[in-house]
Amino acid sequence: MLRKLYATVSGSCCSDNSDSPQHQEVLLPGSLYGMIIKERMEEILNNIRNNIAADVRSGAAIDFNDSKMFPIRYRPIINKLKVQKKDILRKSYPE
Amino acid sequence: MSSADLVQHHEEPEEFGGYFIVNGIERLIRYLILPRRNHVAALVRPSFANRGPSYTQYAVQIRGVRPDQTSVTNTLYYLQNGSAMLRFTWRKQEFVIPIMLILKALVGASDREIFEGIMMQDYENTFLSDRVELLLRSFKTYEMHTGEQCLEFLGDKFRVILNLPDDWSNSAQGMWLIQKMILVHLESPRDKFRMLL
Repeated sequence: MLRKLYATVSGSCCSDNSDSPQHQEVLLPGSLYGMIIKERMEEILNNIRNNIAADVRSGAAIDFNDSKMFPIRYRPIINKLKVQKKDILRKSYPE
Repeated sequence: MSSADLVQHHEEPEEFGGYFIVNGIERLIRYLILPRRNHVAALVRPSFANRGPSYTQYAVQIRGVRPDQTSVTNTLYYLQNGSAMLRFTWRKQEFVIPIMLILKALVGASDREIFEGIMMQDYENTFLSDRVELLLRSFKTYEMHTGEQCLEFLGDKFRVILNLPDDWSNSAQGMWLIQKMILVHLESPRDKFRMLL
């Protein structure tokens, strides 16, 4: 990359035309969908992590070995996931 | 299909496709296009010079694609002083880092390794050797000599933004940054280093 950059500056290599199909590719629906889902999942996981961290810091009485605790405690975030999933579908496939 | 075939299928003779009528509404199918993956493109745009002091119109850009098909675009800008800055985007924010810092952090490259890597035996090319010399000299002001120091520096600066576990060391954070943000289509730091040269 550095080599190409210097070559471009010195004029021994001309600039590429980003409008030509030679430098393009097609964005497929699956890739787009995957990108959106990945971003949302990251967001949700981060939210859950922040909540857990906040709970631990505030010293809330939470038993992390209790399998029932998690769904109850973090229900709002999980519900948010469901809503967003619907949202994504609507945006990706209108009508 | 030939014109005659098209007419036989109740299409116009000059029809080239991609155009439909759905429930009485005109519809056009068109692809969404992206820059070609894992491919370095040289760009000359006057707008690049407005990015900041000493930026020029020259840059090269690559869109690296991970195995899960998500991508990161890295742009390498040429500066008036002969060195270069690498740009990446993280959580919709842009960051620009001196290329030398990345090169050193990736593999702990020596100045000689970088010089020989870029020159590729083309010692007659004084334009190139001058730039590389400037590149190497300009980095001396940072007073960072080993890859570890560079990683620590990066990790320290990006700690707040990356939002990684607090107990990770600075160099681990720097390593993570480089792994996730720079030339994401390549796995090993050595390959990233070679690609950047």
